[in-house]
Amino acid sequence: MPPPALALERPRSADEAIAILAGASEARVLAGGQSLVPLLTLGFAEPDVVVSLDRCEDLDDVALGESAAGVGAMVTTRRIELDATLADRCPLLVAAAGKVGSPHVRNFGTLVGNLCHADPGSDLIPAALCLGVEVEVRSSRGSRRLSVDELVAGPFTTSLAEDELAVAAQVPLCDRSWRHSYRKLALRAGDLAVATAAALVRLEGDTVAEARLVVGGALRRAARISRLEAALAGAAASEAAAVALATCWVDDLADDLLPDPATPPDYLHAMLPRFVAAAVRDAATGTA
Amino acid sequence: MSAGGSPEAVRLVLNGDDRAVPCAPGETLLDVLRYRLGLTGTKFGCGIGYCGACTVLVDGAAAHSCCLLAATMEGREITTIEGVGDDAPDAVQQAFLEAGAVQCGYCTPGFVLSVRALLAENPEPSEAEVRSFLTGNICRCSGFAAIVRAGLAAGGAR
Repeated sequence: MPPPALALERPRSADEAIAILAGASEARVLAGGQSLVPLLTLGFAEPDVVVSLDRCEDLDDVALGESAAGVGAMVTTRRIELDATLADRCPLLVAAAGKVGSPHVRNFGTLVGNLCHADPGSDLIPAALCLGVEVEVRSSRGSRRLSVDELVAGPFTTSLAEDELAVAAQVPLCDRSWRHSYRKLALRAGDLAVATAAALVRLEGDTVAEARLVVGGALRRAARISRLEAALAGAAASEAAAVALATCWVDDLADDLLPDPATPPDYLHAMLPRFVAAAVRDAATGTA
Repeated sequence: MSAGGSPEAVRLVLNGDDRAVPCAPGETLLDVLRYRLGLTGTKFGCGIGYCGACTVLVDGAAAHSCCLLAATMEGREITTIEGVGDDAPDAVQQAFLEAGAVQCGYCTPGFVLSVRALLAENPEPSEAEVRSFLTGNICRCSGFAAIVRAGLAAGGAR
């Protein structure tokens, strides 16, 4: 395959990148390249300009605050996977990071790039949605913060304007009273997910005080399961999986299901409740 | 800006040698290694970061060279299979030979480099750790059992 004809910009800072994006049309931002470079090779993405962030040292930091970690746009999934502080204070994100592709992909792919690629099979989107991650976005017009729900509009589609740069993800650090589980169903290790489930459960004694649950994979975009979150509040931890199985929530998301020949609708309707219930069980009983 | 398809030079530390290599903005590291430098030990497989035939080491870390634009690799240390071993096979290559872990051989350079990357961070991996790390490589002959044995033996040999 001949290499795609494109122009490449390599700014030295976020400010320089934003200035380039302000004057460009049909530009795509390149972070770790693990999704965009294949799309360029296949001709599925045909930008006039690729703005690579590889020289932007100001986007390569994990800034630990009191209640959140600011993860710069060039911080790799591998770095998150191996970060001892995040493992202690944000284990759900670390668990999901360890499921992304292969070590080869995780060595270069980034959290922010993964969120902005908006692949339905993403591991990091459901974890980030469950945690309440916010994405910091800048342009020459100003800055704003988007929840993951606001960022991801649909498969491979975000609400970012063409001149906007996602510079960091603000990852809330969890109180240790939260337990987590991340589950991934894939046809082969390293594949994109058929289904993902992210669960955070806070117990008071033996009772579920609060639950946050996200399902993704064969959906247009990962989604909170609010009906199930409500049903679990007040349930005994030992009964949480049974409550999850008894709660009919898949129909709430039926319009967003993405069946394919290998995973038809009746399969998804049968599999997803059991799959999510297993994540609920693991989080509620601390076996994640 | 580097425009269109016109080549500029990128500086790479390739198998220990500091090299200025011409490359067009859209060329991947794999393109440059194979077609500009003739280093054909790095194989083209899927071209989309799935099969691992194009695995190289970038600053010691396993990488799919088809998923990296060469121009963004400025100053990085790149190790290809041509940089492994000397007149004799290195310990990982020897372990592959002894385990019979080579069938058609197309995936072998990628697997050898992945095992080197694994052993650099985890000198005595368990079988589960070897299997997990090697999710980035596929053997189309499906000779995985012998490859995992080679990875384990190479770890034990160090």
